[in-house]
Amino acid sequence: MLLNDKELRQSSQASRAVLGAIGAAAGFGGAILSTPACITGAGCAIPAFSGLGGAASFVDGWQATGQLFAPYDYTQGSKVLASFDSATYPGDVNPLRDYGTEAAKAAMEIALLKGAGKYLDGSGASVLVSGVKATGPIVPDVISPTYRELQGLNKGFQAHHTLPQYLGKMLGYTKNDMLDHPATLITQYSHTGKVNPDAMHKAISKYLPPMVGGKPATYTSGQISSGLQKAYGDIGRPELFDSIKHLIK
Amino acid sequence: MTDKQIYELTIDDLACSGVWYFPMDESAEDELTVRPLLDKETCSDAQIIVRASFVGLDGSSYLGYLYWDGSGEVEYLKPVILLEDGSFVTFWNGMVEPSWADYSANAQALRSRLPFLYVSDSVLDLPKISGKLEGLYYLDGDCISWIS
Repeated sequence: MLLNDKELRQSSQASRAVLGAIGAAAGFGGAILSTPACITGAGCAIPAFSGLGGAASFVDGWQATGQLFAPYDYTQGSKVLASFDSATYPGDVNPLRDYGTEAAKAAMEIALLKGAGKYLDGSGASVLVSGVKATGPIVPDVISPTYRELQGLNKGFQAHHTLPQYLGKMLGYTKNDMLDHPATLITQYSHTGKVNPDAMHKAISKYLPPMVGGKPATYTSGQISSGLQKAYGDIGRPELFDSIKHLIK
Repeated sequence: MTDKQIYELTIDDLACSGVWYFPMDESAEDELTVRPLLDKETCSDAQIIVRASFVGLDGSSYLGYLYWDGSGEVEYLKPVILLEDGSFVTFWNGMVEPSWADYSANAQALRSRLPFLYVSDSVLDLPKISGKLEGLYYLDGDCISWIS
C-alpha cells in the first residue's frame, strides 16, 4: 500500500473514533446499532452495543480521537479517565457532549477520504487537506461531510442540513443540490426534540420561522446569514455556520 | 390524509387531526413538512404542533395551533390562528418586524380583539399550554417586542 504510514494511522484512528462515538451513543441509549459497512477493516462486523458495550466503545473512540488530533499529547488518556468521574472531569459541562465535537472532527476526516469503500479498495489516497487553500471555487473555512455522505449512516440518527432546505430553496438551491451541502449527524432529540430547549430547529426557527406576516416566509440572503449565525451561536455550535456561510449568497 | 407543508394547514386539517409532527427524514419534502400523528410512539422526540383555541377580548373564538414547547415562550410556541378564508395570523415573526397591513382583511379584523388567550389541546400526556398574546411578536435586536 502506497499510503504514507502516518496518514494511514490517522485515517484508521478517525474511523475508530467515529465508530466509537456512534457505539457510545447507541450503547448509552440502549439502542441496537448496525452499520452499513465496516470502516476499520474488510469483513468485520459491528456488534450490537449494550450499555456496557457503549462505554467500551466510547473509550475506544475517545482514545482514537485523541491519537488522531493530538498524537503526541499523552495527557489525553488521563483526561479520558478523569472524564468518567464528575468530580474530576476536566471540562465544564458534559463529557459526552464534548466528545461529540471531537467525533465530528473525525467524521470530517472520513468524509475527506471519501468514505470507507474507496479507502479499502485502494482508491482512497491521502486527501487530508485541512487548511489547504485551493484555487478555483471558493473553499469554505470549515469542511464538513455532506448530507449525501451522512444519509447512509443515520440508523438511529438524523442527518441535519446545516443550511436547512427550506432556507436553501430561497437561495435557489434544488433538493438535489442540497444533497451535497454540509450536514451533521445528530439524534432526533438534538434535531427537533420537543422537550429539548437547544434543539437545532427550535433555535433556527426562533430567528427564521417558516411563516411571517401571515404568509410563508421569504428571507433575503442577509437575513438567512444573520439568523443562522445567531441560531448556531445560541446552541454553542458556531462552527456549523462557518461550514455553510460560503453557500449563502 | 397526506403530508402538508406547515403553511398549507387549514381549519379542516386541524379538525381531522389535532396533532401533527415534523418527520424530518428522507420521507419528507423538507423541514416544513408536517404529518398527522397517528401513533405517538413513532415520534417521541419529534417536534409536534398541537391544536389550540384562541379567545379574543370580545369573547370571539378561533382555532389554530402552536408548537408544543415546555418553556411556554412565544418564540418557541409560535402560535398561529387559522381563519375560514384560508388566511392565518402568525403571532411569532422572528427577525422580521411585522405589520398588520401585511395580513389579509379578515386577519386584520383580529387586531381589535387583542389580547388573545390561548390554550392547547391535551395530547400525548403532555400538559396543556396556555397564555396570553398581546400582539404580533418579533425579535427587535436581542429583545422581544410586539406590535399591538
